[in-house]
Amino acid sequence: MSSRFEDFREFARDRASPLHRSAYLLCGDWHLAHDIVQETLVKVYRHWPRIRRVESPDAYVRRIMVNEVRDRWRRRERAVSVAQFATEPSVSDTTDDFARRDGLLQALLDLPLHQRATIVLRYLEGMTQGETAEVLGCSEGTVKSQTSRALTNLRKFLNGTESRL
Amino acid sequence: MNPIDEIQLSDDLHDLVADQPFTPDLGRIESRARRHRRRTLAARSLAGVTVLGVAAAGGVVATAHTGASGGTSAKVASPGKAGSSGEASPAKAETVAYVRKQITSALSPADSLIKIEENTSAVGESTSMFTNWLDPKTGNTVMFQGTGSSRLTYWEHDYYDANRVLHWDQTQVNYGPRTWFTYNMHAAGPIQGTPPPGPADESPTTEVKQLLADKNTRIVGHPYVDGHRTVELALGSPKFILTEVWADAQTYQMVQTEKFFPPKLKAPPIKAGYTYVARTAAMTKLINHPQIPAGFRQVPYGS
Repeated sequence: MSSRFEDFREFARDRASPLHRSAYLLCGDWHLAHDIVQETLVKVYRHWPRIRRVESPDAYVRRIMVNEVRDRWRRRERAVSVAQFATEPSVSDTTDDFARRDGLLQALLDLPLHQRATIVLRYLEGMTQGETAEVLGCSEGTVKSQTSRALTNLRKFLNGTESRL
Repeated sequence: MNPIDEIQLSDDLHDLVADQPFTPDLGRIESRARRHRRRTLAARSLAGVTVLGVAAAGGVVATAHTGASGGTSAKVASPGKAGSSGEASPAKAETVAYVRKQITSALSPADSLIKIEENTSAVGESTSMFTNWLDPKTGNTVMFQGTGSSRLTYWEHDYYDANRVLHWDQTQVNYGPRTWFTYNMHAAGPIQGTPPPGPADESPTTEVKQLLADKNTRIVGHPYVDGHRTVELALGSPKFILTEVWADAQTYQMVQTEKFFPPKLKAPPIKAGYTYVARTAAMTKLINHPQIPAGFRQVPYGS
């Protein structure tokens, strides 16, 4: 294998887990998240000689991932199963914690994809509004409004739970 | 939602995805990417020869000569005008759907081999070329890249075995260290039903259909490229990655493709030129049967 892709391997190993976590929150299924990340990295590999030279390859790669989720959504490959997730709680979860997180995940998955992506990028990945805008290919103003709407929707969805949101 | 709530949301999201280790399957990623890339290149090159068959059915295209990009004024000749230059043809719009259909219906020039020459330049690196040969009858390819110690030859062979399980075989010869390796991946189980005829899996037919199915496909002109009057198609969104395809306006054989990247990437376009070559026994054998030079040492995959 060409040595020019050695840095791809390092990049992929380093970024795969964070991408996997974000993909899960975007699609709601760990197996689907696995497929999405694999497919994202296939696309990254194909364009690696160029991607590795851009200023912020992470933003570019996350954009590919969000587009991949969107494409699968459009192809009706949605495999959201909160019930399935609920069968695998963390051992440290208390019942209340689990119920709250279960509700949060469901509420998140009920958001439009753009709003969901905004929440994931900002509050899981810790991106700024500018970085989020770069990934989603929109203005910072759009990110701001999408974040506001998403948070409002989350609060609405979670009103019936004991969430502290 | 106040800042404290937002911190709580962030904590909750992290809790939701905690303790989920993930290791990417790099071998599969690299293999799939290379295979996809090769298939895409091959797919773009497949067109044209069977236009004669279309002519026999009374539907050959003869496009109007605009001589430059920007027009969509090609015409369709009436039945019996196969081979006409088209200037006097009755007016009928050369729509994207029509061009798509023509290319799709001409995907397997079984009497030809296809040579694809592509630049692989990246920003800050010198431009290099690779040559990819495709046998459209089998879907197999062989790629030649580099010279001297950086020379590399790479074969790819996809097929169904007797149990209807899809296999992907790759063989790579590296002339610098004088080594070679082979790698076989296969699907987890047999496909349902009978394997499709022709090349396995992501066949050129499938790929080209996917390429042309892009909803943003549009005809942007009829420029001359390498001596061919072409129909020029643009695919994809200019905001992300834009691909342009030039096909011979009369035979619909592919002439050239060029992939443009967003200005932000500051990456040069990838250009590929296509040549249709009469099938020869020697070249057919070279494409379909990996040939390891004497004295080369076999090494593990990825070495």
